[in-house]
Amino acid sequence: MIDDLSILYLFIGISFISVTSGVIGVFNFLQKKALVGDAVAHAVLPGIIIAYLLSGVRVSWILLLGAVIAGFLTLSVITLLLKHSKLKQDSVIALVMISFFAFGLSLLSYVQLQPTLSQAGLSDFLFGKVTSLTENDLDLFIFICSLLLIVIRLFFKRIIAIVFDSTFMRFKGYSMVKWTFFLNLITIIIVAIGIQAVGVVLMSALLILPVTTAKQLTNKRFNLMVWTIFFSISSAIIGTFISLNSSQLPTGPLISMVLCCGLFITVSLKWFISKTQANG
Amino acid sequence: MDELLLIITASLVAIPAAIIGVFLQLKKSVMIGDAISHAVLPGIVIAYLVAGTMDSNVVVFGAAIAGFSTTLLIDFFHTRLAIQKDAAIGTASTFLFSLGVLLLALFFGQNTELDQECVLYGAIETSVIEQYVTGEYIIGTRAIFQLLPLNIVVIILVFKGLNVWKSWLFSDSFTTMLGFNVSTWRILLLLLLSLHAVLSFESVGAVMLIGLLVLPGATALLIAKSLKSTLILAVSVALIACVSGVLIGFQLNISIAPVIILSNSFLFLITIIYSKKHKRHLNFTKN
Repeated sequence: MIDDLSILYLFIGISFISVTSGVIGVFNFLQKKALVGDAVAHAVLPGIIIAYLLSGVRVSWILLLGAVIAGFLTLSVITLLLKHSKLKQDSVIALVMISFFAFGLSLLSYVQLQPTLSQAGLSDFLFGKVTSLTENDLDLFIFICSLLLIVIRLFFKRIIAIVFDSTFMRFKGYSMVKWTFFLNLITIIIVAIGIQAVGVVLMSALLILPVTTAKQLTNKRFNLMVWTIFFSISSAIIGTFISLNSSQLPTGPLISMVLCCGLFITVSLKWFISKTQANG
Repeated sequence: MDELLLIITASLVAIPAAIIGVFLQLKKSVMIGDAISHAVLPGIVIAYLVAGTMDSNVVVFGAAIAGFSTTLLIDFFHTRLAIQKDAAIGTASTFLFSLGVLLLALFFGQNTELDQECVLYGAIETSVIEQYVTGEYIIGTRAIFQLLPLNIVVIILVFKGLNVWKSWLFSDSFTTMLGFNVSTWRILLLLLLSLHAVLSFESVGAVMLIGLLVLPGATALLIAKSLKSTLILAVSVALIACVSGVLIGFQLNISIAPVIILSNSFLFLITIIYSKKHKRHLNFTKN
């Protein structure tokens, strides 16, 4: 069934997803909005399941569309609630996220009861399973990821300036509404893609952990990007490799665990080097 | 009868969650609560591996302390490694949660009571199986007898120490000035939370707990004017949601824990629409 070429293609696809989410994670991290990705990842679950229920087939672009719509709904509800109530930001994010997620889980448990609707591996979305991805899925994902990467490359300097100091950029005449929308859009799209590979629950690992590790090593913008991409690619490949070899382990936690190991190794190496240098 | 037992179990899960949730929200540490409720998972799995059961109190406390150590990990990331707060929380919770899921998949496979779906939904439906019967009467289930002492402790602590909690929520330095140790009260709250996360794990799972923590409190904070009325309102919202959630879940024959959260969200929605219509009671400035 699985020959070498399609495995190679799988590795390429996962690397693309991982790199793109690592890069977008840098922007979220610098805006101090690292947990928004987590919220969006949980909240797109009902979108995926409704898209599946309406279309009746598991085609990745339909599910992707459902996820993106749900993601937008989530962020608009969060913005609306922040505007119209005196609740704190973290409680609003948590309550919107868990409401959407609970809705998704109820739908999932309803779908699993229906004999006519086969489950279609919808529960794979919870913890992720790379082996369930077909070549058509991977084609679509690689296409969208490269599109995102190109767009990010084009606007890179402006995005970095905005996430670094939004007040200054507003002062210079950039519309923050438009740019916030753009940053939210790329986050939602990459989350919608990423959860099909690593699952809803641990998508935030792909966004947060590479940049956190890279930040331990450097403070420079360019180096931060390079290290983030390095950690994203290597952990995606190692995680997928282990996941392919032992079918019972879900992919999401594996990749997240590899990323954590990367962080711990980096931190201890840094500590060790600083100790040896201090002793002369 | 099953419905009644389930409603009691769900309420015993929801009451301490609502109370602790109000404190967490007022202290702006909801995400720490989320991290703890995710992070008790590896503790629980290891406890299962070592003892083979969750019955013994030692195991429960062990898992709770493992959950509590999340806060130490977050503090370590934040202060020693200079990782910003949100990323530190995200790192600690994803690390511990993925560790738990991997241990689960490695040692338990797919077919035990502690499976992966249970992590998400919990399995409150199965709690009615282990009943304690005296004579002809059912006096409760194992879950109820595990949760009852925690409820009593939380309620007594809250209402005996209400003034201390109030000053703690108001300001750390004010509490210190009154002669109380701030970190003791914070540790106490977080310990209670992780104990609660362990005990309610079988009922609502690790992921849904944040809903029970945040939703009743948020609903109450929309309309209440004092800490006491917030707490009472939060508990009543939680109770209404439990009753309706269990009944609706039973009717539709789907998992109960998500439906309880959804009822909570529905109550929140009604309250926010109501409070918007009666604007004069509220100030709509964002703090």
